[in-house]
Amino acid sequence: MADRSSLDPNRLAPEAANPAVRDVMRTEVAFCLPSTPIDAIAKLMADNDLTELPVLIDRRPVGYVRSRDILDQYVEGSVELGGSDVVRPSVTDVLARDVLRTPPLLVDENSLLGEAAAVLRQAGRQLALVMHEDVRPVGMVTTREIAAHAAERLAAGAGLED
Amino acid sequence: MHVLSEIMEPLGAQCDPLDTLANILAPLLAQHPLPLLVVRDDGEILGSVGLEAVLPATERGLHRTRAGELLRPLPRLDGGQTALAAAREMVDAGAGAVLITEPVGGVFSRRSAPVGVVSEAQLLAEIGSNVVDKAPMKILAGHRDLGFNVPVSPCQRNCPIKQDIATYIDYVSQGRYVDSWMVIHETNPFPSMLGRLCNHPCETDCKRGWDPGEDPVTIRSIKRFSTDFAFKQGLWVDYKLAPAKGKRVCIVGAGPAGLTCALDLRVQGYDVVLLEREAKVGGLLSTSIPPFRFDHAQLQWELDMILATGIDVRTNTNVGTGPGDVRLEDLIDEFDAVFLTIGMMKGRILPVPGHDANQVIDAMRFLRIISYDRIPEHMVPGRTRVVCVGGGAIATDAVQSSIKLGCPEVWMCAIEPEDRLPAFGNELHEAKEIGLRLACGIIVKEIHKDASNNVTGVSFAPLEPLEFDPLTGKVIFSSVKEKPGVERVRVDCDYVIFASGQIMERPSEIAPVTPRGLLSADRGGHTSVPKLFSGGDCVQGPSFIVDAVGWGHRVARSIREFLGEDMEDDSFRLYQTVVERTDDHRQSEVFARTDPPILEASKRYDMSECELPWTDREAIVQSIRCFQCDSVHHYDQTVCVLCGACDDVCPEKAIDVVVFGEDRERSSGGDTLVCETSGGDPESGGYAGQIFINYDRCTNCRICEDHCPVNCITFERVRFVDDLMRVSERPALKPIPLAVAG
Repeated sequence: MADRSSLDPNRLAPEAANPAVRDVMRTEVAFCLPSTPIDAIAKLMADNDLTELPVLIDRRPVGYVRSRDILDQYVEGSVELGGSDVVRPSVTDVLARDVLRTPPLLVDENSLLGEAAAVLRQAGRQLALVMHEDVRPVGMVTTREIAAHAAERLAAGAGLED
Repeated sequence: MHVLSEIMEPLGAQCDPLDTLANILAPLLAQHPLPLLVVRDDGEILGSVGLEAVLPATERGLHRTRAGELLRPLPRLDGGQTALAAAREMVDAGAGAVLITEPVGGVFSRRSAPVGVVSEAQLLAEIGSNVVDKAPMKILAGHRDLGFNVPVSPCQRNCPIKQDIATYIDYVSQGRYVDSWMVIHETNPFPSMLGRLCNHPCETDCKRGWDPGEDPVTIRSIKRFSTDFAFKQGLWVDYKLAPAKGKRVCIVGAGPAGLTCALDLRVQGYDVVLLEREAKVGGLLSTSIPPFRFDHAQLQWELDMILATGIDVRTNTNVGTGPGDVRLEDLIDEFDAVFLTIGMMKGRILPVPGHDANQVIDAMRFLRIISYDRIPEHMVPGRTRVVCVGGGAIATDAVQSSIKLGCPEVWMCAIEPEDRLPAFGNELHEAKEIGLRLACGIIVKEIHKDASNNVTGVSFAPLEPLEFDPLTGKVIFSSVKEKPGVERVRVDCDYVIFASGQIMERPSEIAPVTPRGLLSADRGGHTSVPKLFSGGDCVQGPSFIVDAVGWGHRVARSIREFLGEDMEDDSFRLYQTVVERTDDHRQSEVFARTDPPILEASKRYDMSECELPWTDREAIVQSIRCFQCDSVHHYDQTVCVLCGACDDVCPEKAIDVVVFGEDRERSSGGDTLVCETSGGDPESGGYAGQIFINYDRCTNCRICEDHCPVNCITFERVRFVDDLMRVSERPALKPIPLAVAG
């Protein structure tokens, strides 16, 4: 419940060094369905600078796809490189559900960035979905956001609470 | 054949293995997704380090972690090798990139030197570069506020409780019936009732029905379909309750308005006491609508879901001035707020001669007695001949109930001509099919009775043609005139039911009333008495169930505001949100409207439900007919070249491409600005312009998207949310609890 925030003073007024996830997250959630072909996933990852892509069913997270799994499929010949001179509707029969990994990694939008980083680190993951209290994804936090926040703090000459 | 030298990137920045992560963070970010090369003093490239190193470093500290501790392998490949070879090396070595080398130097000094890098991200981009079907690629754009630039779907605009119709219909079209039911439940606690009994103003304004020769989407029945499915599956909405507010609200009347308000307030953490004078909750739904209109088990299921939130229900409790009644003044003293929603539960009997005969009853009382599974006094099934005075929905229910109780001769007598009767056309048709006799254009003058005060017949006077209010469609009563010199009509009967209006029973002198005899309150339910709110039929006059649910939502908001909640903050508002980009080209024009089948007339002589359920196929076909008016154009302004192709091909003439400096006709009448773009200075060969859409014309056919030469048009689904009408944001699901399921 969101009301946890009213109980924890840190969440009410988080320090600049450790803001709430909702303040630094990406507000657009790139995602795919279990039926999405992996070449489309590759494009989504490339376009959105991601190495993991959440898989949602009706906005409910069910898992994720890793870029390395797509590369594996490429090496095995299940997907080809495209070419701008050839227009074909699909270059693969492999779908997200074939390479789906579980569980999805979720963090509450009110949790602190340090907590989210620890969750990512412990799970060995690069992306966590940021969830609203009603179990709806409202954003994403990735290594890039964490690095960008750290870089901002360093550039400002402020202390960094690792 | 993709050769690495063609797709590689330059080498980029380098760092020393002894550099700390804090030192290299800025260049790492700057050239992401390319990694930094980790190079020793002697020029030896040891490996690479990318942003993935930041997370492990946060454990020890960015200042204490060195690049050399987190470096990844960097296999070398010749620039003439293929991308496949690079991918294989990355997978085998666990690398995030490969170093591309090319031979440099003369014949004798020839050696391989690093010239570039190919990263995993580049290979992904190459794999995805041929993707032309954007349908499966989704972006969920959080709470991006469109600033109400795009219009709300006409159906949702016209719905008194602003249900997200396009979304729940879309879910049904995909076979996602439970999701559909959950969306309905965001604003509507009575979907099974409204799926059968709603007057569906949404269908009146459905864009599909705007076209000549087209009929609107069967919205109401689609709602019923997904609710039937959830009921059969034994699902249950698990409302989340906010922490207790410590405030108590009393609601007088457990009809649709009272129950909706009670649920809204309970979910927000208020203690709610619900007083009902009947022995069961539901108000008009439970006591006035006969079971052949709907499945009472489903009504009970919906009532249980509401009451399971912890509402304190006290049945058989009347608020009034009689002995044993609870006093309104006491309630106002005891509670923080009181909501009076007592409906108009008493029927009116016209004061014609003979109205005091034994067998004269009002339709509300008649239906109420039947709802308790009893046969009204003086009615003898199989023998009693019935005359019902009135031509509305209550009258049709009363006459159908009489026929189903076994009355051999049942008349409906109304002042309106048959084609202007206020009853729903289909209900009237159903009643006639099972033997109803109709007498229209007559007014009741006298009830004949014998010496024992028993009814023997009713006399009517024929009327001159009536005039109707063009706006409301109701009879202008000054036009009700008897035909001069025409004899009265007598209908012999044993029982008379008056369905000629309802009366609000004022519970207390302190409840303010209007000259029409209704309770006095504004649209938010505020009355002139402190702490007292009022709404529903007792304020508005007889209306529809969906209007009552709307009253419940509105008054709940008023009470929350009255009890100190800030209704102006960001969490409580109207908003439009892009939920996904879509490439859903549905073939909506292929199918015609159908309504659910009706039980054949020969089987309708008992209380079995008349309207039969749809099959999956029929529900999906009907939902595909929806134009999906919640989809709006998304023009990529960085790509659009203002060629005007979308304008030219639009069959509805809904698009205007306005190019500055060109004299293009602007004829759509649209004013929704969807694209504002420019390509250089118009004065020196460039272009600039805007694109407008008329969403009253757009039918979401997507022909513009298909014909755009630069693929800059996609469509986005936009959800319009009116928090005022919402019980809760996406409640959770669970099976029906055993205690309730029995």
